[in-house]
Amino acid sequence: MRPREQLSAFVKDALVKGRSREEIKAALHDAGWTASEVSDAMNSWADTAFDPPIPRPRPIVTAREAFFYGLMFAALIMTAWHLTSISFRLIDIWLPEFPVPEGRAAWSINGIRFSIAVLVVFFPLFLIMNAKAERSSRLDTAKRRSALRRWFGFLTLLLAALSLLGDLVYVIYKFLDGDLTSRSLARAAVVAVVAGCIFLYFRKETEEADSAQH
Amino acid sequence: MRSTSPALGVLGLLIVAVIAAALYTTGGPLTARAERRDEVRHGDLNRLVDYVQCVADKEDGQPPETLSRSSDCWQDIRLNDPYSGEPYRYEKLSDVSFRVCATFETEQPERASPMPDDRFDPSSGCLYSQSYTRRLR
Repeated sequence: MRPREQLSAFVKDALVKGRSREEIKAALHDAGWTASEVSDAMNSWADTAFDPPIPRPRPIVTAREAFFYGLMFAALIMTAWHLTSISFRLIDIWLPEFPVPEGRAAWSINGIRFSIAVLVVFFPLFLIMNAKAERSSRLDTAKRRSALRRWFGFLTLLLAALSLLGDLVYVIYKFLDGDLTSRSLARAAVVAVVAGCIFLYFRKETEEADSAQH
Repeated sequence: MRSTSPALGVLGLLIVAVIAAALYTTGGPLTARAERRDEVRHGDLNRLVDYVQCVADKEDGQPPETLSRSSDCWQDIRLNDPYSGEPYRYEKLSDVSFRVCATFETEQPERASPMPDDRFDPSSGCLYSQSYTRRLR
């Protein structure tokens, strides 16, 4: 049995034996459990006089959800990556710093065409799946509590935050390196807008998921 | 509730704008097809230059007056534009130099030549070259 389950089982036994919630909390606290662990364990049983204690619903992970959020995450990553890639290539064409060899220009144009194809497929897919996830979480709070949904949200936040920080590092480095041209600024701006939009959106999303949990 | 999220809206607008700009810059499928045809023409010109140099080698370094198939040289050449059917234009410019030209559909980029003395002129669509034997003398 994992510590968390052990703790929850203990709270249940104590409740069955008729101990009050305050008593149990104090005992757990004395035993060295932290406040968040104690409240987590106490919250796993409904605060009613009903005997035996009623378990509260817990976040669960289902294979269907793993498929759904995995695909949605992939669609978002593909979208962000190729949006940035197209923008970089367009910036290179619009703000050339030195003559580009002919082979590389053709390669870049083919890259742009491939990225357009990726965006046309994956961005609508992300929008549809995201709208579906929102609709079902509005109808069903259990969905909003979904552990995968939270993981997906926080993983996206982590990647977006890392991109923003990396972007800032890039700008400072380019500045110190004396290479802060309109081209590198435009590149940095693209990353800031793409990562920023995703960050803002998922911060709101994870906050809502968090508030649904308690 | 979040279906009108501003962040997602900005992202969507950015994607639409970028795709539109990308299509405008790179051209649609028709441009892509024309570019591919022009690549074939450019390849043909390069092979013709090889071929003419081979023929000139057999003629003491003198480029031929006109372009025709010779049994002495085995380069795999095309004398006509495979798409329009019109012949590639060949011209002997001097005792050493010559040019081969094609009509390109798209604006041609500056191209680096495989040989140092070859030169491609994007505006006229001509590839200028010289025979080896004469040059070495």
